[in-house]
Amino acid sequence: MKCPLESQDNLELLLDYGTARCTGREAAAFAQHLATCSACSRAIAEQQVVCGMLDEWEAPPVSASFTRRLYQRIEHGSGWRARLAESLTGAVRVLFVWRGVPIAAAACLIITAGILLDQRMATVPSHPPNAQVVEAAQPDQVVHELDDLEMLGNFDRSVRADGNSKL
Amino acid sequence: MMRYWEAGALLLLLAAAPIAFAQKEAAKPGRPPAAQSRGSAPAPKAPQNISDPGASVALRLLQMSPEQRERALEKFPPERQAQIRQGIARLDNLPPQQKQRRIRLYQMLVALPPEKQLLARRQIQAFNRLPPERKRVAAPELRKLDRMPESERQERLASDEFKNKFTPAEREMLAVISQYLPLL
Repeated sequence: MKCPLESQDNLELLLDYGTARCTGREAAAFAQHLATCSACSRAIAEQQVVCGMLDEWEAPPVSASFTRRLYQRIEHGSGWRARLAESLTGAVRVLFVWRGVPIAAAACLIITAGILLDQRMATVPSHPPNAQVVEAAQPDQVVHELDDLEMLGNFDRSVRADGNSKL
Repeated sequence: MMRYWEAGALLLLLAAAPIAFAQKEAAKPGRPPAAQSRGSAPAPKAPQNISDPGASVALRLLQMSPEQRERALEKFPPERQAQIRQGIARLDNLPPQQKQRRIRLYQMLVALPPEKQLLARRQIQAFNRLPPERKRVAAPELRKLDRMPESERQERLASDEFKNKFTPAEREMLAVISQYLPLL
């Protein structure tokens, strides 16, 4: 028999040996090979250790509602709306366990910043004081504005000269 | 993994709070609201409060006491100071109603986008340059156009009577002024 590890053929024999999937002549031939092949013997021994550990492992118990929730999710599909809704409810839930504390603290900071920003903006006047604006202005700008006012005054007079203005 | 999603969603929701505050604040009228608009043109912002100087330096000077005004003008070159004083004095000496009307027209003009301001300014200058006999024809027409609803105004501007009564330059002038300075 060819060594499965060397030939890379029939590698499944290493997994199936000792189970119901490997019986009869095939099992006998591989047993003969094992007597002479240390590599395959070691692989089989390691495989048996893994199987032994898996036999000893016990799955943790699932919650009573697990199956119901699983079927609900399967039934409703896992669309983005469902995931978003679940995330949001989960986000609220997370506040009630200790891991939510830093997040809640960050949220408080953000809200406080928002309130402070709101108050600050409410107290900022819509225009700076007159003196500051005039000091920063160019004289040409003031003259230009006065020219505009003069031009509009002439216009207003002309339009009103022949009737009543609505202003 | 889910915890990160949850935390991220919560933080996003909460981060929206200051943004919402800021937007609410931005919606507050720092400047007067827009006046009635003509068609699809940007509406000139007619001031609700005539005493709001907006960005105008001249209007701010007008609001100051004589002492404050002198202090503010100190930095300007002497010849400019004299020119500005004269202009402010002319405004100050106007009857209150006339002064308010002038300020209001100015505020509407400067509330227009720059290119529209330029257009309106040119047409007002053109109106001011009209010979007296043409002014006597154009002024009532302008008042009439100003009172019309937009559709009627458009009809009037396109009418044969209007075309026969005014030159192309006058028609343009009347159309622009009645569009951008609706309150005469």
